[in-house]
Amino acid sequence: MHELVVRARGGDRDAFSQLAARSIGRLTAVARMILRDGYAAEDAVQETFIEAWRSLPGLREPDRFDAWMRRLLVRACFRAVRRAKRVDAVEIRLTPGDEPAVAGLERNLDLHDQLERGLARLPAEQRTVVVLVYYLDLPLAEAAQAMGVPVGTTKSRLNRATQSLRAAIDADDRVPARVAEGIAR
Amino acid sequence: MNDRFSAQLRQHLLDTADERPAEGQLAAVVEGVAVTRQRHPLVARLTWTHGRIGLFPSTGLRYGLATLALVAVTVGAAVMGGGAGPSGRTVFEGTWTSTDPVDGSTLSLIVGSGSAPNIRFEDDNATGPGCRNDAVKHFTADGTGTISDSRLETRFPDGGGCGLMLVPVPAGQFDHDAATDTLRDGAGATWARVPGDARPGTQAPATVPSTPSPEGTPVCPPSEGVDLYEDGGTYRATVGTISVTATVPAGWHGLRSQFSLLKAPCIFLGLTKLEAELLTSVYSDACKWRDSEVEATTPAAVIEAFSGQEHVTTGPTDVTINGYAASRFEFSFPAALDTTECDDGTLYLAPGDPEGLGLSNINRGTDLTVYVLDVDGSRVAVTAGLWHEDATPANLAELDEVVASMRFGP
Repeated sequence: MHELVVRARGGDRDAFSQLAARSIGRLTAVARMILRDGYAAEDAVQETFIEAWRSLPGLREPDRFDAWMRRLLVRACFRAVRRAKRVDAVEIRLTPGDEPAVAGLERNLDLHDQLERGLARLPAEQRTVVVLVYYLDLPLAEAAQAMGVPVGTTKSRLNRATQSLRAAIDADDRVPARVAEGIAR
Repeated sequence: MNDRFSAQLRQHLLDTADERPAEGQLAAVVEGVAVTRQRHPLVARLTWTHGRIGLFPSTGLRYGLATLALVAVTVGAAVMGGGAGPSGRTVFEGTWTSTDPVDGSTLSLIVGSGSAPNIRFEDDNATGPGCRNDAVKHFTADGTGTISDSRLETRFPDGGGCGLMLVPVPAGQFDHDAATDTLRDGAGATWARVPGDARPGTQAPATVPSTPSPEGTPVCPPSEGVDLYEDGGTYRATVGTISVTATVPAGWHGLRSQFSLLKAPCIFLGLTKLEAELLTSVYSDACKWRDSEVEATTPAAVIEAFSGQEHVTTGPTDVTINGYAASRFEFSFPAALDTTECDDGTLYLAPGDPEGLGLSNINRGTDLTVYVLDVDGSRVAVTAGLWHEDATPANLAELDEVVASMRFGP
């Protein structure tokens, strides 16, 4: 890995292609989770790799390549969010009261469904910190570096995100119960 | 959050992660790389920053640096003339140049006399994020060097920039090749001596964006890629899910993607600014902000956090905007304010993008009026203030009128 980065930094496109092949899957998964839009995620990853190639000569520590790529990817994702506010629109559409399936008693949400819905409702910046910490297993300091914000901000975002997820699950658990009560009356 | 929930969340993400690249995605990357050139090593490093490390003392320097671009020869000579180290010529003394292969911009390294020379690095068309909001993309960094045998090591402790902000500049090393009288930097790039020490780019460019014209009217920089509102009349943008409008006279520019208005002859060259943003948390200490974050759960929490601020000159004062009760604070951040002891050397009133909206993008040398109000359960901050020290009382009066015209709706 170190050698590949050094070669790519020196202008070796084959080395960079090998680096891309090794990391494109993981980066694409992260972008998909943050953006929740497959096409936007692929664009963000493409943008990340091109920017990485252009700026690689400036990477002083080859061993920081992965962290550097994460930061480039997060920035590309945030740019994508800013470019297309459709992510926010999706989040608005997914509020509990607007989700028709929730009202149906027959739909029994399991934990995966609940978490997925909760993640969809989070603002992109909160979803990002969840992905960085829980999927990539990054320490808070590295997540903060990837997001370009202070550790304190990262910590508060993570707290808010996890609280929101827990609240979303609790709310989902309550809705069918209320509906059931209504039918029973 | 308990450990069981954390484990469930982690497992959910692992189970649902789709790590399969799309068909042709890797090939597209390879093709893209094949037709893309890498940046010059030194320029590339300027793009790898963790955010701003400080600001110029005054936004007025934006104009000052633009002027600097026009009189670079004189200034450069003056700087280099005052060598800090032992006197005497070295093989490094003079001006060296290299080219950024991506955009063709000229990179200059100006080395003063002596074994501990003053150094200036310049990029006549910097494209990194450190200069993103600058109208003039002329990057300048001043530093010092140490010469040992045939090697020059450079340091730029104060960073460099194009005027709006400073970004870190990495240390460098340059080895002199006596056979070719060239320098080779640590990344392998070659720097050629400018014959006769004539400075590259000493001729004033045909047009220098944002440089005040003889009549004092800036030449507007291009604003391609920025979705602008610039018609006068009713300006509308969303703040979270809140639709916010304001009536603006002609001569204002606004972003459509967020509520951000500038009274400006052209974008990025504002005299006064007006921005609105949602608050999720604020800092009770703009300087030592790292440990002072307060969640903006209620207006009272925000008001309390701001009330104790060192830089508040007036407030809180009860006012109304569009029928909404608001608390008004006046902040003053003097140009001479020393922020070196502040966290990261920067000022923040709220977390956010340091190049973003009002409370996370505070320039020294500005006075800000911050209104805190609760709009249907959301904390909104409206930030109005000077963007440039040349703003006149008439500009400020106009700004107050625009604030009074703000309307908040679903």
